[in-house]
Amino acid sequence: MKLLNKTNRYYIMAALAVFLIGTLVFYVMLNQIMDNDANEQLLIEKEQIAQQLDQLGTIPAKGISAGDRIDITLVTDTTCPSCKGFKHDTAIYVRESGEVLPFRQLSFLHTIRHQTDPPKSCRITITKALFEDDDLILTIVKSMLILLSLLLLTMFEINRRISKRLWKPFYSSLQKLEVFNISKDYSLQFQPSGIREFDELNTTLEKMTHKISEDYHSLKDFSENASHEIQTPLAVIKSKLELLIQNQNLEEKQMKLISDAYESASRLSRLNQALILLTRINNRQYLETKQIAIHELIENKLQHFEELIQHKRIVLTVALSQPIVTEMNPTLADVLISNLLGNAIKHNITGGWLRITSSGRELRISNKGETLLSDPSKLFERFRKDHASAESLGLGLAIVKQICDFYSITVSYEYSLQEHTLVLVFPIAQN
Amino acid sequence: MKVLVIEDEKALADSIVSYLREGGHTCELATDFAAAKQKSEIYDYDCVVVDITLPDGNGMDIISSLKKRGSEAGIIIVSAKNSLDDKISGLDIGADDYLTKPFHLSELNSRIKSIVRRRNFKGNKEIGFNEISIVPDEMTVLVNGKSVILTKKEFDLLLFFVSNKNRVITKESIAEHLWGDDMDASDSFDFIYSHIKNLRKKLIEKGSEDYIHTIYGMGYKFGEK
Repeated sequence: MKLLNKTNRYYIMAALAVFLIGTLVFYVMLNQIMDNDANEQLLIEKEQIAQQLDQLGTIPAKGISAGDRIDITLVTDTTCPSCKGFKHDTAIYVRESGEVLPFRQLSFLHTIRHQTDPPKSCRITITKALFEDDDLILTIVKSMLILLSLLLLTMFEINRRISKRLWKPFYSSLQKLEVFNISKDYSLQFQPSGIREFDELNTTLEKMTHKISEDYHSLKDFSENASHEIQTPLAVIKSKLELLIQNQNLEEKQMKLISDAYESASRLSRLNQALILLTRINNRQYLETKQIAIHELIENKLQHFEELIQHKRIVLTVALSQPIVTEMNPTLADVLISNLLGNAIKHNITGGWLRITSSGRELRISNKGETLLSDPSKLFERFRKDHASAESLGLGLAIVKQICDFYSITVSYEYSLQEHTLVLVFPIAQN
Repeated sequence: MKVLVIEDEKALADSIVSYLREGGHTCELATDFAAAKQKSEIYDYDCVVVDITLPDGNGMDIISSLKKRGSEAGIIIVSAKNSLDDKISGLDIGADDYLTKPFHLSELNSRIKSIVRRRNFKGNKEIGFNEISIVPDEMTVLVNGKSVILTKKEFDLLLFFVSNKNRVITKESIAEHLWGDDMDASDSFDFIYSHIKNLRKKLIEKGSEDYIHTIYGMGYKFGEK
């Protein structure tokens, strides 16, 4: 989630809470004000009616108008319970609107004292329409909602604009980091943003990438040099041993000793070559590419391995219905297919089978083999050997993986009982 | 056959020279660029083995100057760098082959022979060993004039043996000769064993003597007892 969206979400939540409380407070306060107001008006009307009645000395036939409904009845018994002044709220059906509406009634006794006539007691009831409760709430909610959305909209817009401007250096740093390539760039350079936090971040990033770069390059140089330097003494060891075995007078026991030493030296040299290859791929030293017809390469390699396949009595099925052509470095393509086929032959069992099929951009290489003992997900790791055979280097699939990663080829391993399948999905060819 | 070995690593150079000399070649050694330059300019060689990384110069320059002189010598580059660029540029300026360190002496020997064979015997490209004669270009093998049908790998194997006759050849060098880096050598030992058995059988059937001897634990040797 974007930072802006996240803050906006908190804003909306806070605003909703404020809105709810605000509406409630607003309602209570407004209600109180209107209540007081109605009471005051009733009292004022009461004074006015009393004055008018006193002036007239009698109850006018037409009644008295003071804006609200006024009922005046003459009473003789001034002690009746309904004659006591009271105030209460009631709901009355109004014919004109066809609704039951809230009203407030004020009843009181009044003695009309006129100069000429004898005093008369009458009961007066003023009925005043009140503001409807739900109308009130609706009005408040409506206005609050308008207010709220206006507020939020403004806030969002301001926020968006501000963050767009304020976060600009951050995004530009991020972009630089994304395209940072350790094997190409030495360290990152950032423009000063004028915001302290971002400048601090950028300085740290600059230092960090510089350090990483330095470490990476020195490590790279070291491993490359070391590997190359190892080759010469190895060549010496192997050549001396090869000369030594030419000696006619060697006993079988001595021959065995030399043979072991020679085998180990050979193994070390193969290991070293595989590591150099991995390092090279990593260091992007195989950049020149060509259109490679994978299906043709497979056919060629199979021919190369023909005798080995026959020797192991492996039943070979090749169904490459569609040609797979991809842009790759020829050496790496060769290594990739060699390793895949070599693996499928090496880990096959005598009298087993090897099946190579393709559909679309997908290449499947399946072979029969021993049951897998280790975790399939770790198969692509370096020095991973399932059957701890001392001869195997355990680098074959690591090299496959590295080459595939380099060319965005998806490689996965499927396994069921004695069937092992490596699935390669080649990226869609460009242009 | 005259071979010049240009290699700055003395111990390795000695091994190469010793191996080649035992094979009957006349072999000279140059351990630095200056000596190499001098020797290659004064004498004519059938083959020059060049390490391209010399302390005081680049082996590539020696190849260029050899080519400029119109030398007929076959040239094999030997390098610790298994770099494709070096290989391509080396072959571009006229080298015939490229070997990466560490290599088997038997492999180097077989490559030298193959290059010299290609250069020298323009009409006659036959290699003989007693009753066996091999025509590499036609991939045919005759024993006492009778043709022997061999598979590609069996043929390569025989040629490798004959090139290194009377030498102990390790299983590893055979595996690498046949498959290069494509196979972990150890995975094909078993196969080599059965193939050599077949090759031996085919040769003996046509009346050849049994020249292939097993050297316990180590490899094989092709030659008379």
